[in-house]
Amino acid sequence: MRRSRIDLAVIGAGPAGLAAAIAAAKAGVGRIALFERQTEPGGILQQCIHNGFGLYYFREELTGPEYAQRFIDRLTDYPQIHLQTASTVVKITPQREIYVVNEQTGIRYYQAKAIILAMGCRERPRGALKIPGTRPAGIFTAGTVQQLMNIYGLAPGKEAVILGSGDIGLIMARRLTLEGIKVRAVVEILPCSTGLKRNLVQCLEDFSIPLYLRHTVTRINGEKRLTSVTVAPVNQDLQPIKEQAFTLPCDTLILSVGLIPENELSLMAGVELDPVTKGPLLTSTYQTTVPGIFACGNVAHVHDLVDDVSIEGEITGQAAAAFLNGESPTEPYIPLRTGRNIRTVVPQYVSLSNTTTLYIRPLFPEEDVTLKVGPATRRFKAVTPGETIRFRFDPTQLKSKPEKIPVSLEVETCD
Amino acid sequence: MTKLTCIVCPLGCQITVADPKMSGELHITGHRCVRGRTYAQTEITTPRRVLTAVVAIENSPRLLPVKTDRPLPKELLFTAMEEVKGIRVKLPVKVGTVLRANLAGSDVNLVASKNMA
Ligand code: SF4
Repeated sequence: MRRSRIDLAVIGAGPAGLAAAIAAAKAGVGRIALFERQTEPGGILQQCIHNGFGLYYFREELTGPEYAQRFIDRLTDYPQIHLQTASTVVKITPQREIYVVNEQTGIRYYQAKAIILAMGCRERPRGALKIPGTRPAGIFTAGTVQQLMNIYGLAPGKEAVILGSGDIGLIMARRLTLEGIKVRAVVEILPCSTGLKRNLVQCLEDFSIPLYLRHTVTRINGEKRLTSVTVAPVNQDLQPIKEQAFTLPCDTLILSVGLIPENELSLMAGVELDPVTKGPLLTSTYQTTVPGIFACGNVAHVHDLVDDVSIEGEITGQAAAAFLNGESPTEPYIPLRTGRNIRTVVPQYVSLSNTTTLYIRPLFPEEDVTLKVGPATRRFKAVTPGETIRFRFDPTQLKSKPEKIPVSLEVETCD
Repeated sequence: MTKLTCIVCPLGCQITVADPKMSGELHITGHRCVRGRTYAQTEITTPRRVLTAVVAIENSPRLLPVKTDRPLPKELLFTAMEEVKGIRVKLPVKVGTVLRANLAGSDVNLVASKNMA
């Protein structure tokens, strides 16, 4: 097997990988291989044909393919980035060896000095939900429906029920409706939607699609093809109230029930994962627990906005360049400790010399709360698990070097 | 009084428009920026939405993602979709190439949202 030596390997040419590779090249990294398993770069953006991307990063509203195009166009300025499409990375070792499979060139083997993991995330499937019933055709994840419709031009069915009110599900409710496919309902187990408010308005309310909050699908019916789903309200403990169950006829059930970072390769590389984010434990510069291996984008934690992914990719690309220059961070990183009403904080370790942008996800919706990160505080009128809180943590506010920095959302007022 | 959710950015401000029809001047509150005010004004009179879809490409199984270059009056969304379904595009196209001017008889154009050759 031929072995190639490279400076930096970026795994995945979605928004995170593109931004990271470009930032690293800009910072002077020489030989960069950007591996993409699809036939074109852009990642999930290529099937997200709706608009709403780029409001923060480009200060204009773009569709997914347009947003991707902006970064793909920049690649031409950096010949040191070797984009390899239709190339699947199948193995990474802690010694930073990379095995790549491509139909034409077979298996190739690389030795990289640094690696950026940017594989993104995948959707939770039916199996993760344990819905009882038969196993007919007609059950899809929302992203699969998006791919079928927007990339291949195929309709998944004629009448759909969507389980879960995440953004992809809401976006697909509108897309299906515009293509003449009836969306009977969106069913959400929680008391509030997990999607953005703007999507509730422009994807559901605009088309009078009913949203059943505090409801779930309790049974899948049909032999060869799905014929209906049974829906029931849930009690406080999220248990279905069987007596109030009803049936919704449909030939398609679309699951929009969450995303999981895709970290099989990270584990092979010996990277330690955060049990809650399901992504690698990260420092302020997005380095994992294995020196020289970095991670950014949805492989690190699931983002609400691609704009944040691009910014994170850039920080990571610059950090990888600094690592390759021998500027390995000798400074200690301080771990953050999640407290009251905090589900996740990324990065999990902060630097004491630079400010770090933290992405904080609350556990439950709450009003009039104060976010506390060590000595720093900020008030919020309302927080919800559907919207990540962005917080710039400035370490100069720390009076002494702490063991851990607690992060929490508190109800009592401070100051 | 009308309550609206601004859809211009992910913040989704709750906007209140007082007596939209009674007095001439709209009393708009709750928006965090000027774009929200403009949104509320149009939303009360003629709501508009950006339409995105995919169109067929001549002699190719691939699809081209498209969008309207400005928001389209909401009531024209389905008429516009019917028209979009009939379009066959000749490559190459670039982001912004106009594929159909005055979509559904409106004042907006359908444009390509991807470079394809
Ligand atoms: S009013 Fe401004 S800040 Fe609020 S949702 Fe609309 S565009 Fe965003």
